[in-house]
Amino acid sequence: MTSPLAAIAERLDRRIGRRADPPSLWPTSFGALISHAAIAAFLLLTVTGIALALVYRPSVAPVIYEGSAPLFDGRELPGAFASIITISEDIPGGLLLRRVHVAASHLFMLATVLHLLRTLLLGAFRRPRMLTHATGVGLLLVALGFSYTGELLPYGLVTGSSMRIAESVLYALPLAGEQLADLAFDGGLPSQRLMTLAWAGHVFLLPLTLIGLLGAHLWLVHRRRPALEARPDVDVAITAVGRPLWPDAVLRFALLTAGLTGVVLLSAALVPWADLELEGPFLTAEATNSVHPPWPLFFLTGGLRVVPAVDLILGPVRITNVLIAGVVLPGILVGMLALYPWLERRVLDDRTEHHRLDHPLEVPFRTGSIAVMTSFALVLTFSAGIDVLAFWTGLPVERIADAFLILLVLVPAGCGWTAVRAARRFRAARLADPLPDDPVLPGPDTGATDA
Amino acid sequence: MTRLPTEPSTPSGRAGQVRLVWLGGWLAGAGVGLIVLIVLWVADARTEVLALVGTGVAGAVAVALHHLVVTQDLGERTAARPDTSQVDLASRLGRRQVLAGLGAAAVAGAVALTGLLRFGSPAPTGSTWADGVALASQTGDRLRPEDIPLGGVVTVWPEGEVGAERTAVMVIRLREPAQEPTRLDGIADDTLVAYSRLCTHAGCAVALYRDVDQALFCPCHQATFDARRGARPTAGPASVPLPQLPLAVHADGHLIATGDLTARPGPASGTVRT
Repeated sequence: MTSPLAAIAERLDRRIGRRADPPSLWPTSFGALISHAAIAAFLLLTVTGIALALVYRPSVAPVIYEGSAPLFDGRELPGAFASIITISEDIPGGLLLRRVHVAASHLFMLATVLHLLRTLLLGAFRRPRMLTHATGVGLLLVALGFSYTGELLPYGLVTGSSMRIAESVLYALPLAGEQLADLAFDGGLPSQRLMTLAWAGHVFLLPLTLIGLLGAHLWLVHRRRPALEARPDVDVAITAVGRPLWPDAVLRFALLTAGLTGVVLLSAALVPWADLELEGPFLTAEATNSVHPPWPLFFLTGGLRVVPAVDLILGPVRITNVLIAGVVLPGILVGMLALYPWLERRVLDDRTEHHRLDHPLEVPFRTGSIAVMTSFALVLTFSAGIDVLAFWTGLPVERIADAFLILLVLVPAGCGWTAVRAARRFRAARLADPLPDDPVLPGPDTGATDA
Repeated sequence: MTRLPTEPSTPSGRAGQVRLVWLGGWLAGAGVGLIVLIVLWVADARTEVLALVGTGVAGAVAVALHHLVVTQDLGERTAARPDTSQVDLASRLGRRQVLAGLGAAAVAGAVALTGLLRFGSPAPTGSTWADGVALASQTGDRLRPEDIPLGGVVTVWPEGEVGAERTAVMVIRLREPAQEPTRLDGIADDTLVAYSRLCTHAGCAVALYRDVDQALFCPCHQATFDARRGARPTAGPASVPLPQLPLAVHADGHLIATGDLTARPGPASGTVRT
């Protein structure tokens, strides 16, 4: 008796010419553990998040805070910020929960991004795992959504600016933007509607989406069997190697979760991850120096800072810096990321299935493309810090912004060129002196470079 | 399906007992630590203490789990991958199907968006400034020219609307006379000029004023505006000047607006209306 789900899976498999094969094989190499770390962090986030959601109130209406925080006792604060202060100062262990939640969110984003980078560099996204990659990019977008909504919830000083910036990005969308901004914000700040949307997103919609996508992702990993690094004892291209789910994979995952929980807790003892008290609540018409979103969103604010002022009017459409930096550049980056497997398949004309992971330098086109994409995203990310850099160096911030604009072009070009060269050298060295049973060669060497 | 030679051993006798004591010891330690943690939690101990005790518990659990990983492994197993050499390697979806799918998605998206937009209205001009409205400072008091020293900046709102978002305005006492394209008839008391506080770039508060070159500076994305020349953007990402509020001194000696802001306050729209 098979379950309906298994029956559907079997039908799908038959339809695409794949024979279903039950034993589950899970990879437990260190590289594969990166993705397990993201799931472990998500568990921590869920546990702490449920506890925090019980006390937090998504309200912008002012309330009088009364409690043990001397700085705010008796003061009128926005409801959301007051509930954050209540959690931090008046509820036993509340500050620890908040610190662990924030520390785990850093771990979650870091593990997600590193897992993506590994997938790309080693070519794990190729047939038959393209759909797995697509769900992975979806997971990254959900993670970014968590990052943004999570920043809005405390309604701290930076939050108001973040809301405004989001409104201005919506507003910069040609033709439909004004109405969309009105729908999301319902007038100006403080916007209770946006607060409610952010709360519903962070606590219900995004977690449900993430669980659904993660389920699909893991199911695909299970069905397709993991791609593996070349090893001497087994030809991984025709034989899948892995460990059973129970007890090997589950025990390892539990060990990783316990270890990371320890690391996160230790960091929460040492680092004031989430201590918003010193920052204060959002007040309309106020902003301060060193306004920064969470680091996963640096690439957006970085673009807003260094992309020059543009004002191009084409009929009814006006193209501004906000449209380019807030919509076009991130759209290109995410689009490249999502469509890269199809792009590579077309460029290399490589339609076969691959189960062996490549060396990062094995395919020059891939190495170059990833170097360009990654360095572009990194320069945008570091552009978010031009004000801090100006403070450290004493140079005028305008010159630093100009320098970063130049770097935004030069660094990806340089990185792409260097990466392609390194990859070609690697191939040449392997061709001249192949290892016994060298799996690396032969393969297509397509020299197309910078995207 | 075969198993590779990494099978765990299950020692009996003394070695097995040592293993059991090791595992049980760490688990018991973790249990005791958990009870201590709960007691400390209820007793509202310091965050750092809770975190360190929690680290200890997690560490003990990790040692116990590590022992289980080492001893309880079933080991690696292998399975043949499906043979796809006979499968048609052409794209499973034809170009026509992909294009048709994308087209259908685009049409559906456009219909959904159009429906959604019916519920949102284009943003209102959003300003309640008008001829004769008095300028009120943060405390709600009417602002008088002598309240602003040379090089000073004061944030004001229409009287009765202190703290509103879109109508926040900065009044600046310039050190040098204002020039075009400033609306010179909107300058009060020779050197008082007023601009919207909402950045035309991304809507942050243009909260900083640099007295050296009388520049207004937005801390969010470093847009810079020249307060002497109609708040024209001089550096950074903004491309539109800050709207100016024309000022005058009322007969009673306080400042009033002589009209609305010269443009809608806030970020520039991506839609051009004619």
